Amino acid sequence: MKKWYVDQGPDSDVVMSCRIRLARNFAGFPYPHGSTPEIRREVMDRTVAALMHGNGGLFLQFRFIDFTRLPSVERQVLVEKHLVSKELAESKIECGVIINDSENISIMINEEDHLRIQCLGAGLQLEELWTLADRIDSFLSESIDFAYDNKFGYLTCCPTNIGTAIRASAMLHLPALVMTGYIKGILESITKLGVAVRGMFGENTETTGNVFQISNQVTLGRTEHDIVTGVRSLSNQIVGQERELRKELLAQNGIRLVDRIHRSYGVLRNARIISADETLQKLSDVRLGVNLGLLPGIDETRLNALMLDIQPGNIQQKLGRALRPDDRDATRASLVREVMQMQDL
Amino acid sequence: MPICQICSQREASLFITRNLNGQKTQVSVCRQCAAESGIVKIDLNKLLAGLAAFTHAQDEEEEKNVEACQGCGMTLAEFNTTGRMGCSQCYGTFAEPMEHLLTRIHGHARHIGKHPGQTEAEESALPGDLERLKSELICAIAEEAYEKAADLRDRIRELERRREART
Repeated sequence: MKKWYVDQGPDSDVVMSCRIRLARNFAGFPYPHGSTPEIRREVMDRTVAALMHGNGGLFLQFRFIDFTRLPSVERQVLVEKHLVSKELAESKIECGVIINDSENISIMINEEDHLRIQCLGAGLQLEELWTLADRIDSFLSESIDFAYDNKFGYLTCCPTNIGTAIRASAMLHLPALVMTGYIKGILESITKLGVAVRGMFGENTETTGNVFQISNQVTLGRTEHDIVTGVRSLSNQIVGQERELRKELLAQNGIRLVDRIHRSYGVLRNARIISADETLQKLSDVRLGVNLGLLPGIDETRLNALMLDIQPGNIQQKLGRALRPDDRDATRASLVREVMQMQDL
Repeated sequence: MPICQICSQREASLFITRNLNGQKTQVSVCRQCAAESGIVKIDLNKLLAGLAAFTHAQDEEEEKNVEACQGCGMTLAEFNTTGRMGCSQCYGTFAEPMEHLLTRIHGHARHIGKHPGQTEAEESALPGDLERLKSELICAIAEEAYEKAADLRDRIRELERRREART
């Protein structure tokens, strides 16, 4: 089955992916961090039972990954695929994740909250993902009593998530806004609208390769529909501005832009040692080149797959052994060359 | 743009005024050096806890600090250091300070979205909420709290729009 992250979605020339996340807690149980191993185990067992042995209301195939016995490289791979958070990968308590076949649904168990239901998709399709997350949540609530208060809504460990407990986010590739410097103003005004900007891997991560993640901050006092359409329409506006600027850059500064794109392509095609950061920066240029029709031989979905494959955890998993950082950079370079040379220009 | 005083390479993005023995000095640093040197630690938990502590100080109800949640034993003093609740009952135990805190964070303290067991037919209908919002709007106008009123008006419109869409 084709995985969502190598797929192509609506507006994928600018929006790389999007995500809906719902936080849910079992009523009457303490939150994971202050709980006992027995209760945390019970939360895992009951969630797995509800989804995997439920009477098929969702028609989806799930598998459960227990983190207590999972090597750290494999946890890292799941982080790089955006299926679990860094926090869950580093967790020392009883925790795990339930993932479906096409890996567009993941349910983290015993992260900060008992459950974090995530739906992921290529391009911009937040409304569709909300419908899916809503269905999974309703299905789970048939067999699990979730902590809910008539006034405060869904109760969460951190008060910043309470109410709808929804986080809608979009991962945007904005090279033209960065090159022209307009990004600063955009980021400032976004923050004023109650929308947070983060790096590629969520909270406390740096932005690399001109990729920005935007998401709603307010979760209480607005409906899910409001929040989701809010983030979607803001993304639409940014997409529009990025596209305009790309055209303008090409028209006004054509040869310089084309030169930059081809130089980056040259580096990726020929480098013998390359870091993950440099690869992401150069891939950003190449992706822009593909979007502008300058590199017709390259398939955008291959770039999506490559962005994942070059991450440290994925490289080591592919090779089946741990690598020293130096060897990793050499392996990465050969991986990138392979993909770039396959594209016959 | 000023350059970071630590690495002398990157653009400084944080400007910190430090008061050392009555002498004020300004330091300009980039985000990376700030994190590495530990000059500034921006911790969301502490920030939240700070908001709650402030609310608490205003209330001047000292005994609240020792009141413990019956579900998990957490006290408000503990929340003030972690910024995390211990269990779902905590919200009931500390309903009053939480309401202040949630209003500061979200601008609202009342949930209007999905609830458990909600069927598709009743999705977004919530007639009780509509009536409540309307009476809140009347109060807001009477109090001349126009910003609040505009917000309430928008939420009423949204609920009405969705109710119409359903029928």
